[in-house]
Amino acid sequence: MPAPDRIALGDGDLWVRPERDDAGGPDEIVPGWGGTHRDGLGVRAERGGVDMAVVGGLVLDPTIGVRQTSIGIRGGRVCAIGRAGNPDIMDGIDVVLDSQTALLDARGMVITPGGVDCHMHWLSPQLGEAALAGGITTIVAQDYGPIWNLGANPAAGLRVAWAALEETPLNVAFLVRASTSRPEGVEESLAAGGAGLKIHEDVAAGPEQLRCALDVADRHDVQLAIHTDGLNEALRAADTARVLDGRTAHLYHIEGVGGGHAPDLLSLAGRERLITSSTNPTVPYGVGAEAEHLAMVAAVHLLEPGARAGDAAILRARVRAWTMAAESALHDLGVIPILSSDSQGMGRIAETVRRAFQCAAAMKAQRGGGGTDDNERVLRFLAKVTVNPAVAHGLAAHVGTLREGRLADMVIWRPDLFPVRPELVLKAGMPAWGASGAGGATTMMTEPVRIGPQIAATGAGPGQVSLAFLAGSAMAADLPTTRERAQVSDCRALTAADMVGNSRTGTVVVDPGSETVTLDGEPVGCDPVTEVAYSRRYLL
Amino acid sequence: MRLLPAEQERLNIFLAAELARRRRGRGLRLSQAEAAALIADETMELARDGLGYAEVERRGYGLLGPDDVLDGVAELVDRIELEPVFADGPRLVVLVHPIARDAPPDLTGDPEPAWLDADTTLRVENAGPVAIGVTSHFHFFETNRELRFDRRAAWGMRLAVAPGTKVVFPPGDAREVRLVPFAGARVIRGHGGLVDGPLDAPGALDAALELARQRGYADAGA
Repeated sequence: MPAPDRIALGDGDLWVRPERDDAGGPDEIVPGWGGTHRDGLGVRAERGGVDMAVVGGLVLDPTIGVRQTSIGIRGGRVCAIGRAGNPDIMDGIDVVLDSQTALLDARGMVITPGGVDCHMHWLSPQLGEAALAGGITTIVAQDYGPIWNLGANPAAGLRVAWAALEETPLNVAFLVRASTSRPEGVEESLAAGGAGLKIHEDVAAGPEQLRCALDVADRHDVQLAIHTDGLNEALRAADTARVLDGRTAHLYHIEGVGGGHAPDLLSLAGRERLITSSTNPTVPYGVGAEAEHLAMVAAVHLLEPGARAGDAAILRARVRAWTMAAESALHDLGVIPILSSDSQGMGRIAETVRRAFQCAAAMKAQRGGGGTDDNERVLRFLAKVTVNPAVAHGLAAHVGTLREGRLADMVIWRPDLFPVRPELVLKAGMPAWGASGAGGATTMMTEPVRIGPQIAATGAGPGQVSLAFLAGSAMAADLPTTRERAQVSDCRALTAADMVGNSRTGTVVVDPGSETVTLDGEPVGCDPVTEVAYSRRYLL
Repeated sequence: MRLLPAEQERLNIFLAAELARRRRGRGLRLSQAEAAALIADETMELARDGLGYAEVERRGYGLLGPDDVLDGVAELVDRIELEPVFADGPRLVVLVHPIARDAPPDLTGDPEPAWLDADTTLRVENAGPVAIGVTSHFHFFETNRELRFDRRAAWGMRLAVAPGTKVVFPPGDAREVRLVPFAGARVIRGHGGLVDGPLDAPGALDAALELARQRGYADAGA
């Protein structure tokens, strides 16, 4: 099956063009009856091959490009990418198949790295399946259940949280609450099983908390995620930038409706040392966004607008259609490098990947560019939900891309169902989630076919295929987890330049008087989207 | 009721289909999931009504047309696998593009293999009583001993066809094939068991020919 000139991704008018084909041709690996996946033919009789090979898929990876190729996996990690086969009778083999190699046929499919959602409130166990069915394989999480925590604290709770995750095939990093002016408790929670810090205005985001948390983050090489002070009670946007003083931090929901300095948090986008992310209900900016967020903010943050003094005022200041309109454009321009969910705390974990591409499609329609080759835009938006959140939180040595050495976490999609229904989610090279049908039928795909658990999600499988991301101080913590531990690293010197495909910096000015946003003096915005791609044509 | 898992799964199909039917009743065109559910449910009910396999399969293609679904959905619903319960028990029915098509696809055509560029052409006769199929990367030299051709000319060669293609030799028939040389390290392991080593080692061909002769391989070149 030679690589086609270009492939449509679902119904979004987004087209990818293979830059290279090292899977098709006369030595293509074809499984099945009478194919080439046989001992001595496409498969080497003697050992020396990979544990598992994913052959013939169209890989989309912000750091690899768009390649029809094969992926070799050993020890749960990517060990080779390129042409797969038997070097005994084939030239140019990069991924050696042997008679013990497990094979996954990905011909005709699109493969992306597993998604990384770096803003998740783990408020209920149902989030795990929603995440996996949305193509997410790594989460940076706060909370453990419907408890007002805004971090995963303290040690006693973290312990149970790790034990509970034994059933969930997701890599997990917990952020611990750092909204305090005293470092001891933060360091204690971090060492008990955390991997980063979180400041949230509901539990204080003032200057003393910010400075204290930055010091802890520096001492332990972890990231600090900040939901800034939406009341501007102690600080306004410019003040927060002054307190951060050029030290790297990750600013959550930078548009602001998710929380943070009203009305001008977005003015902190485009800075050299501030990594920024969006949460997904405003991306792409849609006609219902403003009305939905009036309801959502009040529901999630326990407001009583109309009944309690001040609630209506802060709600109105926080929900601004004109900054939402700028946010989607800033994503297209590569100024905001990350998209996340803010699951159940004002976002949809099932839609992080889908909304990235809905935004890409909407921006193509409104802002143009691409035509029949959208590789650059597709990879830019893919980076926002894979490599960039991994880099931001110190996970990139392990997840976020399919480069050699990374965990073999990947999502295999039918191109026509991309990015709505993942066909198969591999965790560490093992099937963890995906499409399967009636258990008693003669075939695997007899209706009702649903996207659900695969073998690695059952029994003790999840612990075997998932990482526990931990701060260095937590690597030896006594935790009830069977997962391999991975230390987060390289968090503190990050700049915009480390954000793949999204490293544009510039001066963002938010003017509430004229209700306009400019980037380096040029207005940025978009029209509200009336109909998104990747939605109604597919869903029940 | 003591429902079995398969019966609960049947209810999932029904529920999704019922939602689709109601939406269709309100004049809406259906989505991918709605259309697949409706076709699955109603096809299964045809078997429940007592129709036989061929009739159920045939009618599965007439349940929805492109105008009943949202634009593009006819292409998205490319394959539905079902196990309706017939009078002789559950039977797998596969509907291929049941919205875009009016009838099951014709599976009887058997096109000639598409030959790749090759310098070697051989005439091959099946001298045995059963059909013999040969695939792209099998060492042609050591194919079934009832195939009669010049074995020496096929040393280190394979069929010049795309992977996955089979060339089938019916009993008593003869046909021409094209062959290309193996690449890579040119080491044969397994296959018909006549080589098990490097093709280019001194004496390998003669040893293999001798083994073929001993084992009764037909050879037009001998």
